[in-house]
Amino acid sequence: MKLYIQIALAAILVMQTACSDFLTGEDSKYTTEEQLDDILERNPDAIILGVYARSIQYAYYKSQHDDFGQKSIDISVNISAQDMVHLNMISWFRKNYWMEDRTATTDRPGRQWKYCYANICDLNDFLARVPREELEELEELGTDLQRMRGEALTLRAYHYFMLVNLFQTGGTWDKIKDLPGVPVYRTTTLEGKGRGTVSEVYELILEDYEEAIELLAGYEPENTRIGKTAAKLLAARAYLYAGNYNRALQLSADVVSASSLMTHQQYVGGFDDINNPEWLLGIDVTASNTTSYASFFSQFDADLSGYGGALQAYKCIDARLYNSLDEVNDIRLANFNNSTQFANPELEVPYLQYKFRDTGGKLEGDLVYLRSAEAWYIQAESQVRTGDISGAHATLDQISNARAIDGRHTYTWATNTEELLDQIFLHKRIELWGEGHNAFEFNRMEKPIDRTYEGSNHPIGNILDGERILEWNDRLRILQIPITEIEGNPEIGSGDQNA
Amino acid sequence: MGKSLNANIGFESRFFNRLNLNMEYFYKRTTNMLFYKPVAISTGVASMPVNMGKLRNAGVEVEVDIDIIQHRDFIWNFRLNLSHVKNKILELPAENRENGIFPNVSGNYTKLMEGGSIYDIYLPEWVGLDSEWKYLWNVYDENGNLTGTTTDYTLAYTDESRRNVGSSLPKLTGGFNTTLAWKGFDLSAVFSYQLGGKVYDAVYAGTMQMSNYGQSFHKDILHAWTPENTNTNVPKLQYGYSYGSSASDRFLTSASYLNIRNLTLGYNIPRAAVRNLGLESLRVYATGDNLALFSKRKGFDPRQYDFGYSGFNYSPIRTVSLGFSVTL
Repeated sequence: MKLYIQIALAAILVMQTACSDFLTGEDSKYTTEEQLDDILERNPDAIILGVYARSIQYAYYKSQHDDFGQKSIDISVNISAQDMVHLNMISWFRKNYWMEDRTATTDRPGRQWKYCYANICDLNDFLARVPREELEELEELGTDLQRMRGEALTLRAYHYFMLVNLFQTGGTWDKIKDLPGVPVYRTTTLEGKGRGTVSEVYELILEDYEEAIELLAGYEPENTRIGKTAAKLLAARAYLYAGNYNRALQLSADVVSASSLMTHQQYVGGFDDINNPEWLLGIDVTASNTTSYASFFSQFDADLSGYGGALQAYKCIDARLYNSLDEVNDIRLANFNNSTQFANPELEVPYLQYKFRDTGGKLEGDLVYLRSAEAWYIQAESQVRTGDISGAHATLDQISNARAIDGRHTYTWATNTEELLDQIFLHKRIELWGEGHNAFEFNRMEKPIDRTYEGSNHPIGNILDGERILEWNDRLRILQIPITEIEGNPEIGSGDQNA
Repeated sequence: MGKSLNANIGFESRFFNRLNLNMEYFYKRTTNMLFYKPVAISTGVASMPVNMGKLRNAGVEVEVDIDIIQHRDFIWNFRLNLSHVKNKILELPAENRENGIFPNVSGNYTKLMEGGSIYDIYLPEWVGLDSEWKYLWNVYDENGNLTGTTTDYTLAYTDESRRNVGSSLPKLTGGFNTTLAWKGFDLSAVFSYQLGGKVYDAVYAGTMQMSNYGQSFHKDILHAWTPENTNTNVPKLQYGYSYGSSASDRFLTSASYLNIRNLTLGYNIPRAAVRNLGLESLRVYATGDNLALFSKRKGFDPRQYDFGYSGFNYSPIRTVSLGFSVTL
């Protein structure tokens, strides 16, 4: 058989060399340098307002109802310690309560790291364009640049404060100052940096606060913006954490003398109103900026249709904390274990929180970021640590009388340092319950986190790894660096990771 | 500026007046590709668009078409096509050459290494259950030596312990079809297939997790470890066990599949009978589209996940229709 092989060579197709210029590296996702200069000319406030906006933004990291900015961080700091009980351990923040959701591949570290550094990056952009030396020349761009620079410095320092306390422990200054902290960026850059030590991070924090206090000297704006008293209180807190008690004392004393305390009626009024004399910084939540069910009040208000109420993710106070104080005369305890106040009889839950209530019922409760009451406790503690025991007693008397229903508190202050510090620690915890301090304070004071005591109202299984006392250096008490940072940053490897 | 160089070469041939054979080889080299390079998140920016790297795609396509039987009353034809593609990263920027780049895309477990492909999947190696009931993974050091196993996932999901466990690139993809015609009947069947390639089945992993209630389980959860059932690869059903669905090659699934795309059976009514109806021709037929998909796991459709990991999707529907066509 003959083979007829027909081969069509027409299939040698065109040899092409395509110099197709497709796609150059340019992107509309981020603002460019020119755009930033333009923004600053038209509205220098835009960047700082952007930072505040991000602090109440929903779903910055993932579309989850536990992702709503600053208050998400505050709740996680509160619930991953001892004083807040996640009673039914359902729904959001239960993993934080279990001391979970802290590893490199889980959500919380990634979200909180990314959020803080995004704000820091924006603030660095602003600060680079409004340098100290040029403030006078730049005044033509608009008024208030000095105040804005002070505000931006305060915000930057505050975000670094959060980072270094989330990703590294607190404690006696000498023990912690050389531990690995977080990368420190003073300017915007695309080159990753290695972990700075805790003392390097606090160096930036304290420098920023000092400059801010100078720049803000003449400014006391409304409490939706940072003014001199707010900056001083934040600075006092940072100095306390850095072991500089003298400076902490000076600054907190300034805040105390510049502040007035709220009335008892306001104290049990729900903590949802920005027009409160003690609020040094807060957010005025309205119908246009509320994040609805993904919000702080949704998580806490037991009477609302949100998570903390209708969905029964009740938040209670630790029984031992409550029982250590005077429930008859201390107005602060009226904010707990007071369920008969609720219209709903099902809410007769022991130790249920009553402090945070969205009295308007529309999830438009205002958010408190900073409150002057903290200054009294910083002052008292600093007095003890600098040897002024009687001064500390006087400070404590002042605030405790203000919180006493009949005006005279019934507490007896210890005269030896150790006990007195423990008392201040106790009173500070009840005063600032739910405001984002708990885990940081327990770390700083090197206290064990103990939910296992006799008579505890913490539910069984409240720590995933097994219920036990978490000592000061237990690895569960700090977050790991997110895996995406390690992958994207050549200066941080898996050897630099927290345990 | 991205540039690409394309070259194709092929031939068409016919043998014995029955067999067509076409082959084509293609080659494409791209340089300065646009890539969103991940940067340190602490800089405030997640990724930076750059033009970088050199990539090569090369492959072969073959098409074979045989008239097996060519008879007046009986025709049988078979056609097969297949394609094989290889992808290679020729060059990465110098600073990434040693450690590679992890594209920072949610759910994507690939890693870009010079000499590897953009479809290489890097995951921890899963070993099974430990002596209790927990998952075990291999741990490697930075020199690539196996140093042991761990039940702590944070020690397994690291740069060093994530290993090249497969690629989502198939060995072969293509289709084949066959047509028969006998007297008035015609039957055609069209298939598409893939051989090789792997996909990380994230949806399956999600149904084996144990830390969120209110979500569905896969039936495999019935094999969970119990004191009576210790010889299994599913951990004890422990509420809150957070590693139940952690990414490893346990959930890496073969992406081979066979799909019956279409089956059509038709009949041309004989001329004589049709004429009586006053028509030129009449054909009745039944046809089915997407009749079946055979894949490694029921419900797993690799066609939708050629980028290497599964997610939620609409399943393509199966349609059966009957009809007739008339010429007047």
